[in-house]
Amino acid sequence: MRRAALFLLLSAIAGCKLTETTLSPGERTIVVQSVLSLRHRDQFAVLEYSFNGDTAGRVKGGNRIPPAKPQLPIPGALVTITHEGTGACDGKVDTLLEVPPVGGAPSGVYAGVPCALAPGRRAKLKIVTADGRAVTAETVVPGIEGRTVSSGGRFARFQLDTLPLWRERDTLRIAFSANNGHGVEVEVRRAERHSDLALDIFNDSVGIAIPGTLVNPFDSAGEIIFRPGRYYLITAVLTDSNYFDFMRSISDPITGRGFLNHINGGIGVFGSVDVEQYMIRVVGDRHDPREGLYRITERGSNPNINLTLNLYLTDDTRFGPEPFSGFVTGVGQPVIVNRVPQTAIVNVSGDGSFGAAPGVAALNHDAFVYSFDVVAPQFRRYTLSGVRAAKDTFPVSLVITTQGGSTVLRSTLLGRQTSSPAPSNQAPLVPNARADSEASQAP
Amino acid sequence: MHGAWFAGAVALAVTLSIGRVSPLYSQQLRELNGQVLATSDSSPVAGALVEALGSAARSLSDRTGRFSIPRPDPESLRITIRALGFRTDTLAVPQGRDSLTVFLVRAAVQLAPVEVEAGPNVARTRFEELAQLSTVTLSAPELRRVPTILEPDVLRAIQLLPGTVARNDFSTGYNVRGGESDQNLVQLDGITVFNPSHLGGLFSTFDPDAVGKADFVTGGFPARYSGRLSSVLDIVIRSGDSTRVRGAGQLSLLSSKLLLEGPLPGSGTFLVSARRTYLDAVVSAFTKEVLPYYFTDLLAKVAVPTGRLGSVALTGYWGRDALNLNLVDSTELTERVDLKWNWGNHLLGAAWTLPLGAGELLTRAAASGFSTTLGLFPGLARYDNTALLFNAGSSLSLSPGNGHALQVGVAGERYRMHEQIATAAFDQVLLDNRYRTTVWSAFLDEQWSVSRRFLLRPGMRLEHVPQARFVGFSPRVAAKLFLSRDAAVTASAGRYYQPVHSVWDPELPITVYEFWISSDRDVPVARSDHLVLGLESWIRRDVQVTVEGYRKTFDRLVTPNRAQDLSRQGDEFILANGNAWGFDVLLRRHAGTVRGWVAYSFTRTRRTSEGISYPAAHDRRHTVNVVVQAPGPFRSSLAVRWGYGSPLPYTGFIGQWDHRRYNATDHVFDDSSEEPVAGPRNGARYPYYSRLDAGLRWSVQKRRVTWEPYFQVVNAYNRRNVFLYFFDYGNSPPTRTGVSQLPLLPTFGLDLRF
Repeated sequence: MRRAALFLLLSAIAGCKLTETTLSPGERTIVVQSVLSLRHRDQFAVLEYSFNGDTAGRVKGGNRIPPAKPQLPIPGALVTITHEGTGACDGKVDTLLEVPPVGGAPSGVYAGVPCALAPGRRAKLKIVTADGRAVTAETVVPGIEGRTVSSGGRFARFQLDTLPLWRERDTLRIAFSANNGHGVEVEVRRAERHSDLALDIFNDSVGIAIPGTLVNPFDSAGEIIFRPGRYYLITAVLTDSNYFDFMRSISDPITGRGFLNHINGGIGVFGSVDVEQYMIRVVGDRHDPREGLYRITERGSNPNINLTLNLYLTDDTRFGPEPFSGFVTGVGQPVIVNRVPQTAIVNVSGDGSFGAAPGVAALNHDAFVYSFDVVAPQFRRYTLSGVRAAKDTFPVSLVITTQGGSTVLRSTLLGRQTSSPAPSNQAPLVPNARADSEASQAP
Repeated sequence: MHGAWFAGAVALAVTLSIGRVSPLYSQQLRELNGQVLATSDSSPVAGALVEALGSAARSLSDRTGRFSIPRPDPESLRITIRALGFRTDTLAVPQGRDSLTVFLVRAAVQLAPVEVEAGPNVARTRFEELAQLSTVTLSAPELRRVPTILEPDVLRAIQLLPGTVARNDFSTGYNVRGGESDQNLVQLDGITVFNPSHLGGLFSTFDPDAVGKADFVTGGFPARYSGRLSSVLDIVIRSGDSTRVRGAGQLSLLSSKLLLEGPLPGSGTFLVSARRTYLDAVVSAFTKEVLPYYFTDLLAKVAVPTGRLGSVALTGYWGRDALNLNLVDSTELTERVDLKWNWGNHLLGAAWTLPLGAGELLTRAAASGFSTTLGLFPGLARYDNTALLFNAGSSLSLSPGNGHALQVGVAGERYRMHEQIATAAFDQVLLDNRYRTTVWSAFLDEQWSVSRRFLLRPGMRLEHVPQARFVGFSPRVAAKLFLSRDAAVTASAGRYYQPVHSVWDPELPITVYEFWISSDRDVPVARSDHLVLGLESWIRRDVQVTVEGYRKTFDRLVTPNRAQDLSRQGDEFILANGNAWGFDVLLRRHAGTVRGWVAYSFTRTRRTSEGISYPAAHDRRHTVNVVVQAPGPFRSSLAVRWGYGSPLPYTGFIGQWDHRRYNATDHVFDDSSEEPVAGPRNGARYPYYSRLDAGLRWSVQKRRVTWEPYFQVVNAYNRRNVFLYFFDYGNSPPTRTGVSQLPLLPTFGLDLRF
């Protein structure tokens, strides 16, 4: 906060920009970034040089490492992890091997399957680069011993258990009892799309509470964390002190200080975490008559496709002018796997928008497009579109495509809205209990 | 080590002074001691000329109104007392009486500012009567005429005095003789002010029209001052006019202010000053932009004479800076999110001055507070810092004669500091540090005119901080040996303790305000030892030349710990030690049509923390400030200020790195931000600093109103002084781009007096 105050002031009174001056290249610092995860067998370390103004050796890098690589990878280093503590791994030295070069350029990523990590044990990292520079660091592995994860009056019973969260009423609470934990980090991501990070927050105690109405304070647009009609994957991370310091500190752009470095001979992180994951199914108040339950089926008495949509209007305008999200459950188009037809059980959330639909020329608040992905037994993207009718059935166009975009089915289904909010907007027609009951199983 | 040289210095000074006492002391004559007070509010009248009729004996009263003149013994005596703004009085002093209190009636005439300035020369009086080094007094007219950015400002003016380093145009913090910015005690009528600044220092904290004078002590301060290591800024708010209601105002595009003063019904005076910026409203009215900032403050003083029981004065101040920015508008689904940042000082104090023959008992009680809140509302996250000080104390000033002036006092201070980071949204209190610190103190300050040529000022201070289990004994001594009537060698040594600290990073270029914590079992009491040697000389009675060399040590300084564990109290700081030495030169002309000063400072200051020694961020080797006030063109008053500062240190960058974000869900790194790799701490230096400011002010009297339009230019030659650098090591070749401090900035406005 103190630092935030300064930056606010600086931006308020910033003077004129002065002439740019060319400098001599600075020093290259070894940057090591490695976080050991108790829940993963494979561990890795990213070795790279800092940027010093000398672009020699720079390669095209990427942000998602692995499989991408850093821009100034350090090749040919010897990377070892020595285990300390009681147990089978005590004294064992594991070597992380350099991931083979891709396209002729070194990867800078060193990976392997070291001896199983265990809470309370110490792991020591030693790196010797090809030119003889040495970097060392160590971490004590944290472990979750007990947890209390609750929302909507329910407690999670197992990993990936699905909890209800009524946006306007409920708070997600996560608390750990820990062996050597220093802090908690919580990542909130769309269950169907992990790249969609809604919130990443940490706290230097072993518990945190996230209210359903939370607006992301770190997002200038004030993005809502939880949107009804969606499943979210909650990754709760118990961190050691190294990784916690790595998260919470930065080298500030004015003094260059501030980053809490625990690497000897370099900069970066060698930390460790324990991870647990849960699902939450977010519902909320409904006010618009277009919200509610829809039944979408194939025509006929024995339809293959039989879906129930539970829609909520949202403010996620990435999906259109009048966006909505919704859970979809039921049975989808059967998929042939090894020449055997298999039923596609659908229980996911998807996104769409009212206001437009293929073949609808003018703005129509009942026209809609909605899509969702079914990943098992094979990936299929379902796209539904049509023009909703409030008190009657209406045709729904369905297009199913593969991951590569090839169309595997075009069909017209029959839709009907089976419930909608009360006109007074005071209470939704679909009670929370019913909405929860539809979340019997997460995707 | 520090203790050894300090003890040696004190011992040397005491030995030298004692060795000279006996023969010189015997030369003293019988004296008449007294005090000159105003009838309206019993406030002391400084600079009153007291003359014994029929003899050459004469004396000027000091800042407490006291005077001392030789008298024939045992004859009766008639004296006249003259003071500017008061009716001259003549009194007969009975035979055998050696002390008296004189009350003067204010003259019901309005005096032009220039006449006021022609009054007594406080610096010369101090030179002749006090062993008090490193002190500069700025009068209200001098403060008003120093060209500044928007309006006169005490804090900006003292940054132009010797021994002071101002790191840039934006910061209101200042460093005195190698000290940190939290080591400066700022007092308003004796009441501590925690953070005397408005945003960016563009506006003064205290209405300069309400300021009577400001004493700035940069070292070796007397035993009555406590609580800070490096300097004292003692601002006196003047009492209101006792003859009629007067006012002063200012109108500009940015702000307006109004000052009213006058007599109270019955007896006593009042003075009230209120200000508010309205640039926010101006911007909204004429543009589509929003300036979400304003400040407002209120300053008041009431002085009531209580006859033979002396006088009572109440001083109050309330200020509030507010920056409210709407970050997210409300929607059907969400509440609005606002960034709110506000801070302010608030203080209230009472002082009762009771004349006791030739002495005086001063009793004070005050409460002073500072609070700030920075947060995202409603309920997302907020940072709060409050600092409260309740204090009470009494000091007895005695003039027992024979050249002695003694002051003894006791005081109790109760600090309550609180720092909290909380988020209601997450139901978390991340930081909740509370500090409760009591400081009991007693002091003795003796001003001894050992002879006409030698002044000695021994003193001591005892401080007890129970929560820190601390007992500190602070010996202080100052001496002055006159080489001639107009030249003297001076020396002082002293030990100083500081029980409150700021956890603001001193290497950040701006001090918006300090973040206060106070000593307890975890937070130590900081210490500094001062040794000052100087030479003061006067050319005629109006030109002062002072040269002072100093050495200071700093022990147990508190600097913020970035690795602090927020969940526990006691690790929020890292200790640092340091030292500073240098010398200051002041050439100042106090009277005449052309007046002003040239100040030069040479400083070396270093810090040692966590085993690393480095130059302090304010380690500026050479500082020069020239301030000239003279008649200008078109019947104006001209004020010019030129400043030079040699390069200041900063931490240069040698590269940058990708601080990656770990994705615990997928066990990969999936994002990154570029951050600098720092070189040696404060191992590089900015270019030198230089700035020329000039201002013209006119004064026109019309219909009982004095109109004072003014025009000022800040940074007249538009030098691009570097504020800070940004580096880019991501490309070849690497580059460095600077951001400048204030560009050429003309301002104008209008002051009114009625």
